[in-house]
Amino acid sequence: MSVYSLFSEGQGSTKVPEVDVDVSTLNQIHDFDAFIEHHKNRKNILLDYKIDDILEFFDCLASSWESPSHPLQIYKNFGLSYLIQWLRHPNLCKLSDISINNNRKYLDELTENPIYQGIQFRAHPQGLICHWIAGNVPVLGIISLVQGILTKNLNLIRTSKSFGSIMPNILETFKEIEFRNDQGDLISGGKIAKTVSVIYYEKDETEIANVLSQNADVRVIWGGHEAVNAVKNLRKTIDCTDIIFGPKYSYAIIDNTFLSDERSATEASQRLAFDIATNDQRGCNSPHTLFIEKGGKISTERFCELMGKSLRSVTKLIPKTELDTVTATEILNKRAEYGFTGKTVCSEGMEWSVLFSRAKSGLANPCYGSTIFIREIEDIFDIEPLVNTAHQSVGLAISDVSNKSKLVEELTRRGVSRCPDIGKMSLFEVPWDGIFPMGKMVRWSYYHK
Amino acid sequence: MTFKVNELLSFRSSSYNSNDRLKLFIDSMKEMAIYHYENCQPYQNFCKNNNFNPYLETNRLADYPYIPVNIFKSSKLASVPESQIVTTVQSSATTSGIPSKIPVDFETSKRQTIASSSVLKSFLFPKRHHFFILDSDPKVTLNPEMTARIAATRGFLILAKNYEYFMNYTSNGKLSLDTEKFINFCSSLVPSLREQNINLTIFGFTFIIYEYLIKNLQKRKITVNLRGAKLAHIGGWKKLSEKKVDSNKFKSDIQKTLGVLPADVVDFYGFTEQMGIIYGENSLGYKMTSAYSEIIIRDPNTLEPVEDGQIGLIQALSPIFSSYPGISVLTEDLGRIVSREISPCGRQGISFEVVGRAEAAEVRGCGDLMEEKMVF
Repeated sequence: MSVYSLFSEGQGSTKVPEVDVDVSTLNQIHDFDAFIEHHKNRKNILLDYKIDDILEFFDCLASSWESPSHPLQIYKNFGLSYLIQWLRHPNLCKLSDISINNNRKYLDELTENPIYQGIQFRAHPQGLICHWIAGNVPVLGIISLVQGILTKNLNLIRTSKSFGSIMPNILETFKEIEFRNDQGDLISGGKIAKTVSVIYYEKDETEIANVLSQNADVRVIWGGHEAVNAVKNLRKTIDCTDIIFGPKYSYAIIDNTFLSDERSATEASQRLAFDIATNDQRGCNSPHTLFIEKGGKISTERFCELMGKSLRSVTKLIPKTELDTVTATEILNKRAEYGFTGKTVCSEGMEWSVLFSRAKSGLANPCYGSTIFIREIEDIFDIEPLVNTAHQSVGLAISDVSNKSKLVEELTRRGVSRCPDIGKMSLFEVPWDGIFPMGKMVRWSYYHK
Repeated sequence: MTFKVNELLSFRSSSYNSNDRLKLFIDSMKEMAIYHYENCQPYQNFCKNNNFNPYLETNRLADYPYIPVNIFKSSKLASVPESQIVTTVQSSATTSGIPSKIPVDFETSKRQTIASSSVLKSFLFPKRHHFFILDSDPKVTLNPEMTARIAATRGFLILAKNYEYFMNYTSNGKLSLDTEKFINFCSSLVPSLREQNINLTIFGFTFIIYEYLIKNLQKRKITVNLRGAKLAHIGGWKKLSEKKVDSNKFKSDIQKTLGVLPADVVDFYGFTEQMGIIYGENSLGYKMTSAYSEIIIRDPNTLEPVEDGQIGLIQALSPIFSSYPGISVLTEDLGRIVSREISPCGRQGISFEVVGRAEAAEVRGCGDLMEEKMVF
């Protein structure tokens, strides 16, 4: 049984610029039960802070990271810029308010609810949140953790092997922030960091995983089918809350008005290119199929060329990680398959691929590596029979507001979680996968005043 | 219509005038690319999508678009009418469970025979001779379709004067060695091997030879003396490497059990999508191209040819195929070019090493759903 600590007691055991976990550099935890108990002893640290102090802390942290000379800038290809914007005060305020019944003050004290007058509500932390982080999109782990901190929970993260060193390196920077709030209380990033531990164990270490799981008051599980099922099947307490972010599929729809002229088609392609290229197309919100409504002046073949041009530009701005050889050969197979019957516009290397064939229909199996499959549809509503609960984000470029509302109603009724405009698919907003995660990280209580 | 490729096939497989052969190889590739462009609409589309015009002058083999070998599992590609197809060769269904299906016409079949025969003669014996086949006789074990194993075996039997199968399928469908038959045949042939200079090749798939013949004989403490015979094997090392058996151990155990010298054990590389093109092993243990084939190693990310010595995906080129556009294919095998010089055993061609297969990263994206959740 081997479990390793990457970050505990406010200290990391890995050094920048590592990205993936290298077990040989980590400290082994010899008594995991004692490690968890010790971690649980810090449960009061965040209770001393007001939610607005924590929000201020993250805003300061984002400012610090923004500096071009900050060591974390090495992660700019892994979503750091997005994270900096996401951590800003206005965004996290909105996130906290909307997640905690429209008033984040419930996190600090008994607070009157405007609907139930005479009753005061309180949102207490659930206790210990254990996060199982997937390796596909590194920023999601941070997003998960920040929500755990905002709800004043203790957090224990089982990181993935790939990108696993990013989290401890980010936590190391917490100690850079220290300030006094309006009441003169010291807010210490170092103390906040002490409420977080990051561990790693191999996926076949079931006993370690069971110990972790049984100690969790909330289990946040990110990952594919295998990973999610593996965690779901672990032992847990009867009142443990699960927040599951499993595999999801995303796609986009463009109506024919966006193909009425070269300019609007170009703009649509540029926005979609951004959605495709962000997170290396590995996020659940990354589009893999684009449905184009027939009838526009710009042909689908021409749109493929515009899409290729936009992907060429975007992939220069958002550098990609190298593909594994199986993914590369799968993409090459698809390039050939579509090349026999349709139109393919591809980079010379494996940076991106636009694949269109009239012989194909429906949702394409994801290929990754910025590969977008283009389908023609007669009408935007033709998409309805394809929709199910495994679909997360459907990016829309639909001019007619009434049609857009009708389509959104249909898509979401059938299971789609979100319908952002194209170009905004990659943003993390709430509700995510149909839930307000922070809402599930708290335990509600009330009393009659 | 006469093709330049037929002229190319008149070259000896591993000894030729390099300049003449290269010029003819390039001309043949161009000729066959045009042929497929004009006779196979999907190939024409594919070329157009890859901005490749076969009519334009090019001396760069790297310019020829390559079809990934897996595409033959999902797409039916033919450059001749159905009526001209004499057989459809099917690959083993490997990881995906779907086999490649390759249509072969008379002309392609003839060229495959000439090319493979020429290569085999240079590695085995120059004349037709005895073959011991370590597999089940397909006439006894009924297979509804021509499986890759049978097809590959037939490819080697063009050099056979007579042959004998030494394995059977048991009632529960398992392959088993007919040990008694093998021992008896060896006993009767051994004197002839020495006295009458009779040539013998033992042929089989790498894993089958080791697991069913060598280990079986070792277990029974049986040894035979087939010194002077050759042992030809195909199929790759994946299963044996899992059992920690490498080429050296394989050859050493063969020498101890069968008496065949390590230098007479030849590992051949090839694949169904370019049946007939085979790559034998030189005295340094590297595979060698013949006069009828070229390889290019490509970086899996940039797709550019890499420098010699660097590892990448193996692209294989040969103009011998007329029934389907398989003249330039990209395999899923990883390899590296070791040398372009004449090998120590005097063979011309590119020496290369197959180092493994493409491997997936541990982490995939979030879009991988259960199939039942996908609507196509």
